[in-house]
Amino acid sequence: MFGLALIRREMPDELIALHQLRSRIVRRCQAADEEVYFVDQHCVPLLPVWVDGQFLILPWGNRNPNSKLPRTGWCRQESLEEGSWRWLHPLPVEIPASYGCDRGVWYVVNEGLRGVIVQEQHRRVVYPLSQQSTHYYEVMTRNRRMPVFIGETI
Amino acid sequence: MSNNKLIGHLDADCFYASAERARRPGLRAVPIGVLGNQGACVIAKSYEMKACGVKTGVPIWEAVKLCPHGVYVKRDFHWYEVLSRMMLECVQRASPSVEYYSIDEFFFDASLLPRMFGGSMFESARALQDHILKQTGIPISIGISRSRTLAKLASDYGKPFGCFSLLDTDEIAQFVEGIDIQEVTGIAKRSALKLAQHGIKTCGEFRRADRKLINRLLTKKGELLWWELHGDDLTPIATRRPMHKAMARGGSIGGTTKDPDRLRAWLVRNVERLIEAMVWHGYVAEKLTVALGYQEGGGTSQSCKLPEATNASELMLPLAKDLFDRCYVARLSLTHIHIIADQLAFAGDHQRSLFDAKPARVDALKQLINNKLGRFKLRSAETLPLTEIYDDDAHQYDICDVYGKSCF
Repeated sequence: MFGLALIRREMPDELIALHQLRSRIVRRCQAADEEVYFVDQHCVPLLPVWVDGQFLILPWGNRNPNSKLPRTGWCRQESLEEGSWRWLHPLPVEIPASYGCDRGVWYVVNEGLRGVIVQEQHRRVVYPLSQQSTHYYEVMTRNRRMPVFIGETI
Repeated sequence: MSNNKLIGHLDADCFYASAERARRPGLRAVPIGVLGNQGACVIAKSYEMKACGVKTGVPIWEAVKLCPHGVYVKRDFHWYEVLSRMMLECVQRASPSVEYYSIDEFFFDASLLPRMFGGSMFESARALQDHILKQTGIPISIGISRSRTLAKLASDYGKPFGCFSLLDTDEIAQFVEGIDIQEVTGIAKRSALKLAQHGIKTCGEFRRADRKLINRLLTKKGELLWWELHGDDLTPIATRRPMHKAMARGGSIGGTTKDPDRLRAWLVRNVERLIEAMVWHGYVAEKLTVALGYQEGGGTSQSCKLPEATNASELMLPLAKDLFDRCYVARLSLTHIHIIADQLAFAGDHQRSLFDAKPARVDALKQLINNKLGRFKLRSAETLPLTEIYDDDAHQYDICDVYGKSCF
């Protein structure tokens, strides 16, 4: 399981209402700030994205077998650099996050994750980028892949 | 032996976790675990995580079971030092005599605190506490008493964000009466066992014990604690760090390996870090030791006398390599490498060699460039197999790189 949390006050109320995110608002403990959870195992996986100065909520990856988009939740940075995604005209985006959660371990994220959005007809989908884990990240989460973070190495 | 001086002990509450909160207010009330540079163990935690049963040193996979909603963060000693120095500056403004005991603890002469803040001792300590919180975002606890040991017990008692003064003789006697003797800094398990054999288990019993018996059991250091628990302060506040007896760099190599290139790289990295610290403190050493730890258990070590007292790479690095080759058991996997410089003296105070001494040109050049461009920017090419270590900020700076503390 991979998930992100964004401090609630960093999200506009309109977006929460528009995408019916109220059920995803969680308080980690009583006196803590509210957070909005974006989890890959949700029945409707979504991610917050900054695109051209706009804050949007987009579908996380593709689960639809009828779609031509890659049926995955992640875009491997290596395959992006090799050009395997070129035919999709991927657009780099930033996925804001306060915390990440990998295999049950929550950790602090300074700014967010890097990702790409691709479009199929009128549907835009976001794929976070993944890369080989650092030693630290792999020990912490036991995952050999990790997200590409903005401005930091974890 | 009593004097009128009052000693203050200032201790940050969950310092590493509080330091993370200071720059990330969103972490308020969230259970925080600070992880070591390998990402495997919790090296510090917030009170909220402690309440879930997570102890310092537990592996992350156990901590997650105990506190699944906790948030983990990578240690950042650089940031912790920034806040530590800010706290030190606040205390130095309030007291003429301050000891930088550790990254999050200071001893200070509290006698003039009321004059400084214009109130009672308690009000003044509260004012200092508030001032530090405002300046740094770090909550601290303060204990004030007649000796270092009592002041430390008082600050521990007041935690978190406590302020506690123990000034009156009867009050002191009553306070320490039931405290477990192991709560006193300087009395570890072995000493406690020795004392227990004589029926001494609490600070009260320790105080009532015969001073000569304590001296016999725990030597002069134990007797010092006996005086301190009676309110007699015999340890002056060290405003400058006393000279090291030895200086070491090294530790875990982040796993196990037999790869000769990586082992050489770790050795050279540790020697470079040791020399950097020696140069900063102005030390030269006469003795060098390489100590190795193996995955299979146990360790080996080799020492040698340096041809002259030195802190120069040109002399120390070839000798460290030679010592390593002599003590490394090649069929075993290494987990730890330590380099220890011993028989230290201040450069200039030491006996000079009768033979031609080579100037430490490589180190001077390294220092010049790294002071401008950043630590490790110029380093030995033999460290290249550790690129991932040098790329990771968590490995750039360690607790031992915070200089000037009187304790580790």
